[in-house]
Amino acid sequence: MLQKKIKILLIEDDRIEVIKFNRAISSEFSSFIISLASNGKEALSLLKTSIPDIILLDLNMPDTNGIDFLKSVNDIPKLKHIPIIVLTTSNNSIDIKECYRLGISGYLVKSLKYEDYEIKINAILKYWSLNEFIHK
Amino acid sequence: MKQEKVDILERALERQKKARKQAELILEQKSLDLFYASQELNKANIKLAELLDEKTSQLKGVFENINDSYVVIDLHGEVLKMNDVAESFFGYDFHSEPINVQKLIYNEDHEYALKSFSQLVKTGHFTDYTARIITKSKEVKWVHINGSIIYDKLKKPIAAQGIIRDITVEREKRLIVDMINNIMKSILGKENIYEIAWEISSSIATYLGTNDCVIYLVNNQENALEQIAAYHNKALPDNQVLNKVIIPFGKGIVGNVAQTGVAEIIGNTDKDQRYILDDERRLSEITVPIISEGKVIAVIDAEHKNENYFKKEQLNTIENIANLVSFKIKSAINLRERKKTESLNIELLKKLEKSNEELHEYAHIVSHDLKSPLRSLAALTTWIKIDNLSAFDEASLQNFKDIEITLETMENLISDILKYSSLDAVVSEDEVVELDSLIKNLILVLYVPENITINILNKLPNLKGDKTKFQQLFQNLIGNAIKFNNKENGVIDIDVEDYNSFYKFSIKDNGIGIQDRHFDSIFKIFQSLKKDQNSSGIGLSIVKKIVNIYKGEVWLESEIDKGTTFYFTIKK
Repeated sequence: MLQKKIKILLIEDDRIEVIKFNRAISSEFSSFIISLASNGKEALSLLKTSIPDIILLDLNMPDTNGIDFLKSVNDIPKLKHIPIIVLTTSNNSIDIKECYRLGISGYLVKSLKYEDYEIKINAILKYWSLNEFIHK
Repeated sequence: MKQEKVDILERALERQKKARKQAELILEQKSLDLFYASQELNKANIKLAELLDEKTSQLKGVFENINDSYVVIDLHGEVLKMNDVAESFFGYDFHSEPINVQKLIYNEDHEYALKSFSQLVKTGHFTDYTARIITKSKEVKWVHINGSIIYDKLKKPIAAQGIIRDITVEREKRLIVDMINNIMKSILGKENIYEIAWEISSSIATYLGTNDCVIYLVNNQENALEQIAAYHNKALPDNQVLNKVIIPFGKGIVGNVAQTGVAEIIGNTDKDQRYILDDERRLSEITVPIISEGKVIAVIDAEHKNENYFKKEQLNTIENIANLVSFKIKSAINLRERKKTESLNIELLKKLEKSNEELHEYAHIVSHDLKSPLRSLAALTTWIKIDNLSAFDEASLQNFKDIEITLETMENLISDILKYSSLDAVVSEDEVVELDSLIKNLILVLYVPENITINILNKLPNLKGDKTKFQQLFQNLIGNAIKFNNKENGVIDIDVEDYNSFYKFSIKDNGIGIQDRHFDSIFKIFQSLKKDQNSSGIGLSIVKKIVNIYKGEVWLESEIDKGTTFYFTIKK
C-alpha cells in the first residue's frame, strides 16, 4: 500500500529538542514531511499556507506559548480537526487539564533519557500514521 | 240687792277676773313665743346672709386665687374677664387694653384653635385643648385648656370660660423622657454605627425643634471628625451623608468641642470666628461631645437659623443623652473596627493564596527551565556515546554511565523540590479519604523487594483532607523504610492509635537505624544522611510539611542496626 507522506508541524523553541526529534524519527520513518515553528505565532502564520496532518506542540515557549496557541486554533474552523499532541516537561496538573479542556489528542512528558524519548515519540507517530482519521 | 245676787255677781266677776288673767297669761306666753320665733328667724336670716356672703367670696376667691388662669371671653373672642394668674401669664392687663384671644394663638395652631372653638360653641364644652400661645413678651408657651359655654336665662350662649394651664415645662420634661426612651429603644438592637447615629440625630432634631442635627465620629488615626449622620428636613435614614464633611481636630466649633470635651451653646455664630459654613448660615449652634472612658469619641451638633435659640436645659438634656448612648456608640465603633480588620484579613488571605499560586506556577516554570538543559545534556552525551561507541574504552563508558546517573539525581532533585514547594498550593478541596484502601493500593504500586513484608496492624481510619498529600506522606515513610533496610527478612509495621482529637500513626522498620544526633536534622530540607542516587534529601521535609498542614507532629525512635519507628499525628 502506498502511503501518502504525513505532514508534521513541530512547534518547539529549543534547538536541541528539534535535533532530538529529527534524529529520533529518522531512524525508523522516512515518510514524514516536517515543518518547524519556534513559537505559536510563527506556527499560526505557517498554518495559513500549509495545513499539516498532525501538530506536535511544546508548551513553554516565548511569545505565544502552547496554551495561547491552542486557544487561537480553537477559533479557526479549518484547523480545529487537526490532532495536536503536547510535548511538555512539566506534568503540572493545572496545565494538562487546561490543555485537555482546549482539545488535545494526547500529551507526552519529555523524559530525561534520550532512549526513552525515542521510544515514546515513535510510538505516538506510528499510532497516528496508521490512523484513518488523518488519511481522509 | 239681794245678797244672793251679790254673791252671784261677785262669783261671776271672780270668774271673769280669772279668765282675763288666764287670757293674759296665754297672750303673754304667745307673745313670748312669737318673740322667740322672730328672734330665731332673725338669727337664721343673718346666718343665711353670712353664708351667702361667704360662698360668694369663696367663689370669688376660687377664681382669683386659682393657680391656673381663668378667662371669660365673648363669642368673638374678646376677653371679658381674666384672673390675676391669667393676666400675669399672658402679660396683658384686660382692664387697660382690649384683648382678643386670636392674637394669642400661635400661628401654626390657628386652624386647630378655630376648629376647637366652633366645637365648643356647638357642644357647650371642650376638654384637653393642647396648643401653643404667644404671650405679650413674645414667649411661646404650651397650654392645656378645658372650656365651657355660659348661657343666659333663655339658654342662649353668651360667653365662654376656660381654665388654662401652663404645661410648657411639663411637656418639655415629657418630651425629654419620650425622646430618651425613643433613642434607647431604637438603638437597642442596632450594631451599625450609621444607623445608631441616624436615630440619635433625628430624635435630637425633633426634640430641639430644628431641622439640622449632625453626628460626627472622631477618627483618631487622621485626627479628624467624620460626619456619619446628618438629619435634615427631608433626609432619609438610608441616605449616606451628602458632601461628607471631614473636620480636622480643633477646627470649627465642632472640632473645638472634640478637643476640649466641653459642650457649648453659641447664641450667634456670626460673632464666633470658629464657625464653619456648611450648607447655609444658621445663627444658633449647640455642640455636645460624646465621651467614653475620658475620651471624646463623637460629637453631636445641631444648628438653628434663629439667634439665641438653644437653652441651657437643652444642653443638659443632650449631655444626658450623650452619656446614655456613649457605651452603645463605643461598641459600634469597636465592631466597625473589627469588621474593617476582618475584611483586611480576608484581603490578605486572598493575596497570600494568590502569591502561593504564583509560587506554585513559578516552581513549575523553574523546574521546566532547569530540566530542559538536563534533557539536552542527556541527549547530547547519549549521541556522542552512540555515534562513537567503538572509539571509547571501558573507563570512558563508565564515565558516560556516571554522567547519566548524575543527570538522573539532578532531575529527581528538581522534581522533589517542585513537590515540596507545591504542598502549600491548594490543589483540591478537602474530602474524606479512606486511608486503609489508599495505603493498601499504595503498597501494591510501590516497588517492594521480596525480602520485605509490609503489615497494616489495625484498620486505618478515614481522614478529611487531600488524598494526594496523604499518599505522599505514607509513600515517603514507607519508601524510606524499604530503602534503608539491610535485613534478610525486612518487616515494616504500619499502625494507628485513636486519640480524642487526633490519630497517632506509626511506621516501624527493622532497618539500619538512625543515630539520635540526626533526629532533628533529618527533617530539614536537603538533609540526606546516606549518599544515594535515589535520595534527594527532601522526602522527610515533605513528610514534616504535610504533617504540619494537618496540625500534627512527627518524631522518631531509633536504634542503630535494630530499626526505626516514625510516629506522626493527624488532627481529626
